[in-house]
Amino acid sequence: MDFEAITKALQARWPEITSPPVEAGDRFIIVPAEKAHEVLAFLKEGPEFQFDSLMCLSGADNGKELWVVYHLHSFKLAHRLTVKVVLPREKPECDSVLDLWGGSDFFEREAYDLYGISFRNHPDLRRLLNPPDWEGWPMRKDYKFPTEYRGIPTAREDQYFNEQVEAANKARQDKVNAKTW
Amino acid sequence: MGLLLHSGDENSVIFTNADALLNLGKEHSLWYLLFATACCGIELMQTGASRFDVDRFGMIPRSTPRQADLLIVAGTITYKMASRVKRLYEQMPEPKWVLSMGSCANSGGPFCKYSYSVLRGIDKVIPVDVYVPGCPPRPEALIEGVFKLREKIRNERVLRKETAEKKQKQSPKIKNGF
Repeated sequence: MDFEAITKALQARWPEITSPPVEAGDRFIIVPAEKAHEVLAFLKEGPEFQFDSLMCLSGADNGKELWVVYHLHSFKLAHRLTVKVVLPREKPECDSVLDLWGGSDFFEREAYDLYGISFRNHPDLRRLLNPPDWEGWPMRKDYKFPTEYRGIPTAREDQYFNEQVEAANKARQDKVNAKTW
Repeated sequence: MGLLLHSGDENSVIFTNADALLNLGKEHSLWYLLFATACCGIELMQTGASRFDVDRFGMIPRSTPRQADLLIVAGTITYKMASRVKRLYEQMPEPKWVLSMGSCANSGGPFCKYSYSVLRGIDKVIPVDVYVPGCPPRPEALIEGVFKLREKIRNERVLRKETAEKKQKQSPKIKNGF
């Protein structure tokens, strides 16, 4: 099935699913967060879809809201689909798809670690890459870099270095303030 | 000193001082710990392999810190890894030396301006004897660094009063949890 056919089949059942036009790259569908698990289960189990492989689960931050992006692929029918779930910045919560695709375990832990997206019903939602006592969600646009970690300062003593770091941080902050991403 | 060996009669006597004798042994048997965290590790492997062959300088790779004299920090060290590096250093028996290999270990390198997780130089955590610049340094550069270290070892004084320089070699102070 091609993208249009899949989208139409899904929209017949869930009319709130949208597929915005894209200028470049793959087209995708946007699914509301509370329906996401239901839709993904349908995509996996449905005989005309059979998406038996979760190629990638990623988190993303576009500055306004957080995304969870699922890249699905079907080995049987050799088609693929990109599904996006949009989550509010204040309370990003989403259902875990661990019961559908076992491989989503580390993907979800990574998204939790870097974006702070909590996945409901995940049995072991811990940080994956950062140390357990790390503060903040590093890949978010408004993340503040730490000044020290366990007593190790993040700056060096030499002035040139600190000036450079300060300039880089300022440029970054300006970009965040101007919302030019 | 090397020239004097095997040069006299069987019963000849060589006069030297104890420091020179001890340092002779130390500088020609720098067993290094296999510790590589990034692309510098590839160059470190090259240096140990047949083309550059640091075995000829008495440098043998050891896979445990308890048998190592030299810690070559080859690669990026993150804050998460910093505690492990410190522990490895503390597990090594005295006398021990540290060679910081490549930009990342020296100062954070390409990550120094813009990273939340990379340690800005391992000298924040452990004392360093020799810094080798490069990204990554070629094996020749690493061998040059080792030669600088050997020069340093040659001039160390073991059996005399501690100099101010030696006292400086104390580990930087880190809070509990490490």
